[in-house]
Amino acid sequence: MNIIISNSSDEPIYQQIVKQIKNLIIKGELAENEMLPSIRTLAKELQISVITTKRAYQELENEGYIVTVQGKGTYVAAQNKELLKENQLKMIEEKLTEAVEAGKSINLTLEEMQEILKVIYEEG
Amino acid sequence: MFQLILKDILLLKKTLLFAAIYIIVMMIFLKQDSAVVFLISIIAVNYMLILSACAHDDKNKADILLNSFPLTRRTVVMARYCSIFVFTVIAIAYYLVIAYILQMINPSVQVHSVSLESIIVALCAVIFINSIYFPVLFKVGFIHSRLVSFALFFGTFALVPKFFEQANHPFIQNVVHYLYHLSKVEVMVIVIAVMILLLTISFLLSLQFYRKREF
Amino acid sequence: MAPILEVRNLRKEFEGFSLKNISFVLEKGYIMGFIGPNGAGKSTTIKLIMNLIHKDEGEIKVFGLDNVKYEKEIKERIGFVFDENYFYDELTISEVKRVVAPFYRNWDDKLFYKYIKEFSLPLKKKIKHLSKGMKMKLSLAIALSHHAELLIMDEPTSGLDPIIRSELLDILSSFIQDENRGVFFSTHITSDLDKIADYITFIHDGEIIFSCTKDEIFENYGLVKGPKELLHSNIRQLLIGVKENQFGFEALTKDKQKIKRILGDKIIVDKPSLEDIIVYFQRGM
Repeated sequence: MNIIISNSSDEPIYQQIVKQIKNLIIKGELAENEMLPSIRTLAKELQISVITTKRAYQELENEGYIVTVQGKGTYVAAQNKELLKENQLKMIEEKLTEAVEAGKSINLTLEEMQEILKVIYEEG
Repeated sequence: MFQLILKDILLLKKTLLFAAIYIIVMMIFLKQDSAVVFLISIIAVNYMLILSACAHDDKNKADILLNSFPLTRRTVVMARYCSIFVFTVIAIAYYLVIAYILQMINPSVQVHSVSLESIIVALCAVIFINSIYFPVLFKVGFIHSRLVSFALFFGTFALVPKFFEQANHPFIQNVVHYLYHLSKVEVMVIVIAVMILLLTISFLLSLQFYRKREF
Repeated sequence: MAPILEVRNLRKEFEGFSLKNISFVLEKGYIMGFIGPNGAGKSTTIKLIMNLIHKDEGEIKVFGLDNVKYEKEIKERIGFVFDENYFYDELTISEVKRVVAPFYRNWDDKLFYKYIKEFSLPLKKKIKHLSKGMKMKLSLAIALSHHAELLIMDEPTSGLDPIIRSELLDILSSFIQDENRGVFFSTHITSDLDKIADYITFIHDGEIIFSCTKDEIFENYGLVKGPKELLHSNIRQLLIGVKENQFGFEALTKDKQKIKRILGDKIIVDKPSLEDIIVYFQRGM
C-alpha cells in the first residue's frame, strides 16, 4: 500500500490521504476486510499529525469506505458492488471532464474529441 | 537525598584530592599548637568542599535541574545540611589517616591525637558557620552569598586562636566554671542541644527562603 | 478523561514583562508545539508548569492534578529536555545515570541502556564533551527510561543540525504511538517539528494568539498577495502585518475563504508556513 503525501500541495493533507485510500479501494488494491494501519502508525510513517490521519479516516468512514472496530482496528468496508461501480464511474467522469476541459481550451470539437477517445480505446 | 550527596562527592573528586594535600601541608608547616591545626584543617576542608559543591551547582544551574526531577525543595535543602556532616566526617577521616601515615614515615612529626572533645569542637564550628551561611545561600543564591561565606570562614579562622588566647577572660572562665561542675555527659547534652537548635532554626529559615525562590 | 496538560488563565507579572491570561489544553495522545518569537514568554510558561517559578493567578493541571499540590507525583511522570540544562558538565553519562536513576520510582535500567545503544551515547564521556545533539538525546534517554508520560521540551531543536532534528522527529512520533502520552515543546524554529505537531499554541508578547489544531491553521490562514489598490480599510481589517512594496502588497489573513470570496482572482492566496504566521503577527503588532 502506497500513500504519497505532498507537503507543498494546496490540497489539505487529509484530503490527499482520503483520495489515495479511496483510489486504492476502488481499484481493488485494498481488498474487502483488509486491515488498515492505525492512525498513529500512519502518522508516524508519513511524519504528519495524528489529527490529520484521524480526520482522513473519519471522512473515509463517513463515506462508508472503511469501518473501525473498537479496540481491534480499521478495516476496508464490505463494499456494495453497485456503489463501487458508481464510484468508479464517478471517477471516470471526473477524468473525462478534465480531458474535455483541456480539449475545449484549444477549441477541439466534440467529433474530434470522440475520435481521440476511439483511438485510445481501441489501442488499449 | 543520598543521591544528592553522592552527586556532590562525584563532582568534588578534584577538591577532595586538594583537601588531602592541604591537610598534609598544614601538618608539616604549622608545627604549633596541634589542636588548632586539627580544628583549622577540619573547618577549612569543610569550607572548601561546601563551597565548591555550591559552585558546581551554580555553574550547572542545578536549581532548575534538580527541581525538575521529582524532588521536593525540602529534600534539596536537607541534602545540603546533611552534607555538612558527611564532609566533616571525610575531613576527620583524612586527618586521622594522614596523621597516621606521617607518623609512620617520620615519628618526629608532632600530630595532635584526636579526642572526642576536639571532634565536637570542630563539629560545632562547622555547624555554626554553615548555619549562618546556608540561609543566605538559599535566599540569594551562590553568587551573591560568596562574600558572606568568605567573611564567615576567615572570621572563624581569626577567632579560633583568639578564643584560645582569651581563655582567661572572666566570661569564658565563668562558662568554663559552670560547665566544670557538670558531668561530661551533661556538657555534651547542652552542646548538642544548642547545635540542634541552631541547625533547626537555620534549616527552617533556609527552607522558607528556598521555597520562595524562582529560577 | 482529564487532559494531560491544562493551563487556565495563567498570570505572572515581572518587571517589564507579564504573562497575561494564558490558557491552552493538550489532550492525551497528541503533540503540541508552543511557538513564538524569543522573549514571548515560552520559557516562562514552561517554568511555571514545572513550578520553578510561582504563578500569580490561574491554574495549571498536569495529568489532571494541580502542579503545585502534586508536584512530586507529577514530576515522576514528566520527562524534560531543556535548552541549556544538561545535568552536570563534569560528570560522565554513567555517573549522571547513577545519580538520576534512583530519583524515579519507575526507572528502567534495561531500557536506559537500550536507548544509550540506540542513540550511540558514550557512557564514559563527560557531559561537557558531548555535542549538543548528544546532550539532547541523553535528556531524552533519561526521560524515556523512567516511562515518562508527558515530555516537556524547551527549545529542543535550537542549535541542532537537520539530521539530528529529523531523528528527534522519529523519536517523538514513536513516543506518541502510545496514546496515553503527550508531548509539549517550545520552539522558535518551526520548520521541521511543525510537521508532526497536532496542536500549535502561538504566544506573542505574553499573550496566546491562538491554540488550535495545525490543520485548522492551514485551512484558515492564508498568505495574501495582490495589488495595492485593493487595500481599502474594510480589506485591511481582514489582514495582519500588511507589507507594501513597489509592486503590490503581502499580508496574512485569518480567513482565507472570506477574502477569496470578496476579492476573487484579483489576489493570490498562498499556504503560509508557521514561520510566516509568526513573522506577520510580529509585524502587525
